Amino acid sequence: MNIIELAANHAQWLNGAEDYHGVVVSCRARLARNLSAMTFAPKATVDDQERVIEQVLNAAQRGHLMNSASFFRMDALRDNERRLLVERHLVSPALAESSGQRGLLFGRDESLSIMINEEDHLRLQAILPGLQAEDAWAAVNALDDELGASVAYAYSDRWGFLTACPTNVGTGLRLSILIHLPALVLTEDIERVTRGLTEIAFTVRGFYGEGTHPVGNLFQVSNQSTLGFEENKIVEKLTAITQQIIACEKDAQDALLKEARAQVEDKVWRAYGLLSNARVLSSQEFMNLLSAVRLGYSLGLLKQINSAFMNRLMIVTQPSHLQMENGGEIASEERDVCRAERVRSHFETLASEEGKQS
Amino acid sequence: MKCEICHKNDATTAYTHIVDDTKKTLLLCGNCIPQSEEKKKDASQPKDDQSPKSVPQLIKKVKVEFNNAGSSEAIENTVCRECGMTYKQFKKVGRLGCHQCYTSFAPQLERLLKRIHGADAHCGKAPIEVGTVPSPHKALEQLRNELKDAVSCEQFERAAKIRDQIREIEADAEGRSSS
Repeated sequence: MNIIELAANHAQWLNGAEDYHGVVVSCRARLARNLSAMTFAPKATVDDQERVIEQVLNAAQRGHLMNSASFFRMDALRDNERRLLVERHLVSPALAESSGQRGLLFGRDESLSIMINEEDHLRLQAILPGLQAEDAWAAVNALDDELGASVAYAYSDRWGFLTACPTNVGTGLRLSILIHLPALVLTEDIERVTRGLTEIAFTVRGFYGEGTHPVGNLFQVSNQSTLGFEENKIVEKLTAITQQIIACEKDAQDALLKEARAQVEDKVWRAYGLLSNARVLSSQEFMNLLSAVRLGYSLGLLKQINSAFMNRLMIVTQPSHLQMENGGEIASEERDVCRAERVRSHFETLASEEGKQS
Repeated sequence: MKCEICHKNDATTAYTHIVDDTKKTLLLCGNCIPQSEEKKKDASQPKDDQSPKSVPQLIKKVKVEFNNAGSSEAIENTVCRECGMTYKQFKKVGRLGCHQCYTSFAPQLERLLKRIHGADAHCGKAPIEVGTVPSPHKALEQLRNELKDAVSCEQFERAAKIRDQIREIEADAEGRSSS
């Protein structure tokens, strides 16, 4: 798959399964791994980094899960193309921006991927739609076993899998759930939830993970600690916590609807109207409107849309996707026009499909 | 906006404390929250009169203690015999140089890991032995999920490719078990 095909690919994690009425977008399990007897990536020479890439590609070839995966070398991509990978949640902003020999290996449906030479030699990722933390862990665990059968990992009995940053040592497992919490933001209870999570060693991050800000009321809930807890316990605990957050969000949504039904309906339908008709849409405005529409879907006010529609729209309207579609760099103002066009055309398709069905 | 403790990472969380009935908010990164959290717990059970009175003081104390964690010159200058990194360099960049650094800096890391994770021993998966033949079971499960998704999205060309791959793995596994 080349980058243009990738920009139009249907990533499985956006398909809206197990979404708890639009509250949960996706879940991601990430394992940090290093090859034994090799300098860690931040201190490695270009030759070392090359050797890591070679070993990983060979190991992937020998397994079943990634033997038909696509591979990109970061330095062979343009800035915009690297940012496109960030927008698709296939690479971290850090991998896209750093220098040296780095690579990305990913499967056809983008549910499995491997970042090579980020902060650690390997960052294995499984990303699935909705709240399927157990399945995401199982998928990344299977990939880990396949690669581990071919390459020796840096591991100590005492401290587990050894990572460049001590915050990832142990299981190396970071599990994150991308969750939409508009009602908790509106009722200003989000701070309380965030604080509660921090106290039990879980954390809330932004849209693209560590060091990024929440956009469109989307948050990533993830485990903070990677040492001293078995992987299954992390999965269990994060799932239970997410279910509690979903319940809080649902309560807040019900309360909003009960106390201010007209205002909530107005907010949702106005957003729907704007998205269907606007001629200029900035990224931030789009994400805020989409959040209102998603709330409308969660509340059962908008029956004509679903999570898959909103999730895909959210990715294809991001700056690098728009530029890729237009075949090159475009200025921000022009991008806002393209974004509005793209959104409108998606809504028109939706309306015509609905017309056919009725 | 950089984290107000480490001044290195981007702040991701507005961290609010109530100290002496005054609300104080600090912008912190993910790494620094548990450190201050842990110190806060310590501070709530004062052993002496030096318990911090305000968040900025508290944070300052944490920062100083973090930097001073056993700060004798000998410790600072401990060198990893594998990659040549010193403990001082590690503290500056926050990333270890190689797997051997974990042995070279073991006493210092023990304290640090306990503070970061609240634990100092691994519990969970160990790596599979190199040379083990991976079971096709999980790969097949993954591919069947993919096939289901491809069919539901009406991507039949993709579905056909996945089906062929499933057949190939099944034939391969059968061949292996009968030989």
